[in-house]
Amino acid sequence: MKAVRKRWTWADSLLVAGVLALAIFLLAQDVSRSGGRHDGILSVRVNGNEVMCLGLSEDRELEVRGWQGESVLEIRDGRVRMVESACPDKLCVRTGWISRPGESIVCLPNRVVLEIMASGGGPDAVNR
Amino acid sequence: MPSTDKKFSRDGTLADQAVRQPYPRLDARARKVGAMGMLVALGLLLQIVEGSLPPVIPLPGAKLGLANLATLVALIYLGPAEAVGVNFLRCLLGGLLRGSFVGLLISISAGTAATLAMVALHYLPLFSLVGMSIAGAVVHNAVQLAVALWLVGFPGLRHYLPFLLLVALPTGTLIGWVALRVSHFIPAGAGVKGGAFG
Repeated sequence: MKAVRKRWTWADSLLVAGVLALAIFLLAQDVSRSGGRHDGILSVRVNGNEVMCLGLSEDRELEVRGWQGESVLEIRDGRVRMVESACPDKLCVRTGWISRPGESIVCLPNRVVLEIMASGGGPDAVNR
Repeated sequence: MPSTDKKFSRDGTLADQAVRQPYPRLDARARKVGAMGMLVALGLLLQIVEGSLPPVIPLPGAKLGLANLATLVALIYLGPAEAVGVNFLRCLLGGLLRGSFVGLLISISAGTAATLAMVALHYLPLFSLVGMSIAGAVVHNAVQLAVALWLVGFPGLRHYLPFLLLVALPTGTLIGWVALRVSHFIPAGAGVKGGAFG
């Protein structure tokens, strides 16, 4: 039979401190990584057909041929915006940046739709 | 000096033999099986009681771990193999009672890992009973999440780990403290080798 320590020891404190530090480190990592960034996927549709589907991690500028002409979109820091569009009202350009899953930029005259889809998928909670 | 009817037990503790060995003819193995069965039943009972209580913290997987009391007591009074056995049987029976195969798988793997962690800390003469319990809770929650991650295959689940780790600290402390209180009621040498508990 091995005796059991009943008093709190320094090793216990070390254990608790270690777990706390690990939890805080993991939390901080998550927070810093998700700051402003949402790992979504950009879906570009012209006239209802998806012509492009790309991640937002790489900064770039693209041109999309729409119904009336070219639409220029820019991806930067995990966000997307329409820079230029061959449409009369420029509502799509004025929409500005989008970054979250579910957000979209619609250019009706040029029939270009940019939508951010959630990546990953699957259930968001586990049944116990 | 005439000697009294008190004797020293094998552990060197002074104890009344009549109290320490209520069934002297029962051999050590039978005593051990009896004690293990009792602890399995006790753990199962605690698990059911805990399951019927409203959750203290509304996080799935974050539970008090009352049933770990039975494992802890088995570890410190019977031994490491007995603790693993008690925990395994308790998880198996509890899982069958709940009727969820995934739950059973998670429960057995996390419970076994937690028990092994507590065994390791028990034989590392640095940690107290409360520290052992905390380690068990932390390992249980981490392994539980890992198995869930593996079964579900949704990597976003790992962001849940820090919360489960943080929850394990108070619950592990509480269960360790209760185990400490319980241990005051079990005589010091009440192990397998012919104690009232064995």
